[in-house]
Amino acid sequence: MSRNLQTSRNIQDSGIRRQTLVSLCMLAGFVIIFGRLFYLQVLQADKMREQAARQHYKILTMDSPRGPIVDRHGKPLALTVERPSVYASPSVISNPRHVAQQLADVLQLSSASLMRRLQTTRSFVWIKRHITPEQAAQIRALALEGVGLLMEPHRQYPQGLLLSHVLGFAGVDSQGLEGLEKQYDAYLRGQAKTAILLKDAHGHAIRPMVVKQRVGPAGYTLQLTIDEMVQYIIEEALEHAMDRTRAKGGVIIVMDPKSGEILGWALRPAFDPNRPLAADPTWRRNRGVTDPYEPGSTLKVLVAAAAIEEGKVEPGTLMYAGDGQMPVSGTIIHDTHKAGWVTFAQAVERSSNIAAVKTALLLKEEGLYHYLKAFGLGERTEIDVPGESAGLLKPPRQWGSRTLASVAIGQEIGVTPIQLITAVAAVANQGWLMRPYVVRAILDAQGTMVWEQSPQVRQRPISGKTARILTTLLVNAVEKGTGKLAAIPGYQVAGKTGTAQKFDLTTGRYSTTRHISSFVGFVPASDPRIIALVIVDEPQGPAWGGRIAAPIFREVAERILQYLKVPPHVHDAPLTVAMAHHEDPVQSSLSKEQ
Amino acid sequence: MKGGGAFFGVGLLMGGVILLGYVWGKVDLVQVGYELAFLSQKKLALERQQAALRLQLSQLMAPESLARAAKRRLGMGPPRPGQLVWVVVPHSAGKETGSIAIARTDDVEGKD
Repeated sequence: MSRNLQTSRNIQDSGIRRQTLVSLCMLAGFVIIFGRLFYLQVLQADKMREQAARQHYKILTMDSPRGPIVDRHGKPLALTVERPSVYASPSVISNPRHVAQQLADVLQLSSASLMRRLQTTRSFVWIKRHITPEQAAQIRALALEGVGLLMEPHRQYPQGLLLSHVLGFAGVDSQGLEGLEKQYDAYLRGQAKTAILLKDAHGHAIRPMVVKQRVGPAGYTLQLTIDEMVQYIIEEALEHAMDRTRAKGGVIIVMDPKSGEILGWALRPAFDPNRPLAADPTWRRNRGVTDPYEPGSTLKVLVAAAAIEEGKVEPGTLMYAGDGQMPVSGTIIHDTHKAGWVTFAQAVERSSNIAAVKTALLLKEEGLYHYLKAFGLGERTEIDVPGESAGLLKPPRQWGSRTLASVAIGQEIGVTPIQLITAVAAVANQGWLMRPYVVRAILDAQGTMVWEQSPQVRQRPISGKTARILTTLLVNAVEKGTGKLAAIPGYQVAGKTGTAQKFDLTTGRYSTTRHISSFVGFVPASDPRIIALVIVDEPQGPAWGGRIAAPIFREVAERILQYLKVPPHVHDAPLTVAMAHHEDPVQSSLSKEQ
Repeated sequence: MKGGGAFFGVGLLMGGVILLGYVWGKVDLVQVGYELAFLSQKKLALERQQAALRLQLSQLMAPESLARAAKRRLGMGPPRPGQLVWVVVPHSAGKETGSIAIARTDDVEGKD
């Protein structure tokens, strides 16, 4: 009995011990679990929250498209479209040789170079960016392991060569590299969009559960002063001129002389901004602002303006232009024809070098320098196009004994095309010198103007009276003088020819075979709508400005005047159909029937 | 005892209905989310297509392209000197005198 009792007590004790042990184990388990929970939920809370967010949220960062560049009427000159780009993840490609071969066939790339890229341990490499939609479809059909396609913004210039030197171009990452694309990059480039979305187990976005969205504005639109049609006219004329003269290069700039707005800007050689790297880098330089040249006789416009403004000469002032030769400090200034006694007006008309030198002698070094500076030479015009040169105008203390005579005929001085046209535009604008500009306004994505450029007067180098007198002389130069081939029937053209010998650095003398032919003029002379500068660099054959550049001026100015609907002068009696009553013919016939 | 059981049963049912409604709403929301995501993708694709068409349009409307097409298909070119006739619209009440230019069509061979 007592043994049974003892046995029963032992069993009971053993059960209690086991219960205690199990309880302790469970307690220990709970302590561990709660300890772990405390560790994860309290001590590691931030880290865990971050990990969970990474699993549940999807962060999307997208570049806003680069803003377009449009002409003054809103016609697109630069646009952004999306193009597919091919990438690969080499770490997941098991047969790189096969993949390289397949991609090489579609993308016309070297199989060996693709192999090198695919044999790395990197998780992402670009194969080729901005491929054609057809190539993308072929790659999609191949369904290659570890190869994918991404849509990327790609800059396109729908008009090809048109205005390429001013527009510049953007790189593969939509960054402005040259021209206005670079100058206005901060405005054109849109801000990146960031969106944080909830995603499911497959990584698909659950759109309504947007946790946070920060959308940056798209790139601004750049509206230019350029007129697409004017630009086309001058590009076409310059292209024909290059073919005709077999010249090394050429420039045509068209400006509104009253505001300083640039209407057209063409250069040759040209490049296609859609394939900028295919062109010689020197062809991409905007020589309208970067390269100073010796302007030759076109500079006589400014010399004449200074002399008239100073009262040194009048149109009827008699000057002795001699027998076509004038010795100056050991050299001889030539005229093409013996002029004898001429009025100042005739001297401008015939572009007499000797008369120009004599006029400059009346002004003296300081006087001529003062006016050339006042017309903006030797300093930047501050046009909103990058890379502008200040040209070359030495102060009188650095002038040699021949410099005054040389400058009077457009030598020993360097001007950029934009400097020259801006200076002569002051004559067309009653003496007011304007700041030239190509960007008219900046608009946001909704088309609201956020910034607008307005015409700016820089200074007034000559009076309105001087400008009117000089305009008359320049009209004579076209109607009776060296610029006859620039004359347009029905319109009064004021202008000046220029034929400059190029300086030969190898011989240290002016070349007798290499010239720059130019013409600068404005029309209609009484109320100018346009001023144009035509420069032809090293034309083959006769290089006279009046023979080479003046007809180009006529061609472009005539077509631009027609396009701008500027009617011809009344003296040339355009056909006028005058109606007694300006009525609608349809309405009129209906009322008659009734 | 019976009343308490019925009350518990109704409560359980109501709780179940509320829970079902909540889950239904959630599922529906996710479904709408997927549809929206799909529509967003479609919108993006259409925007891409619009940009490509805009580019194509500006290429086709470029003066050079128009001039080439006009010459090739219709034999047209810029008017030669003397081919233009200026028609001056006479002054009418409240309107300034304007003028427009039109190209003459009777001298396409340029005999003048």
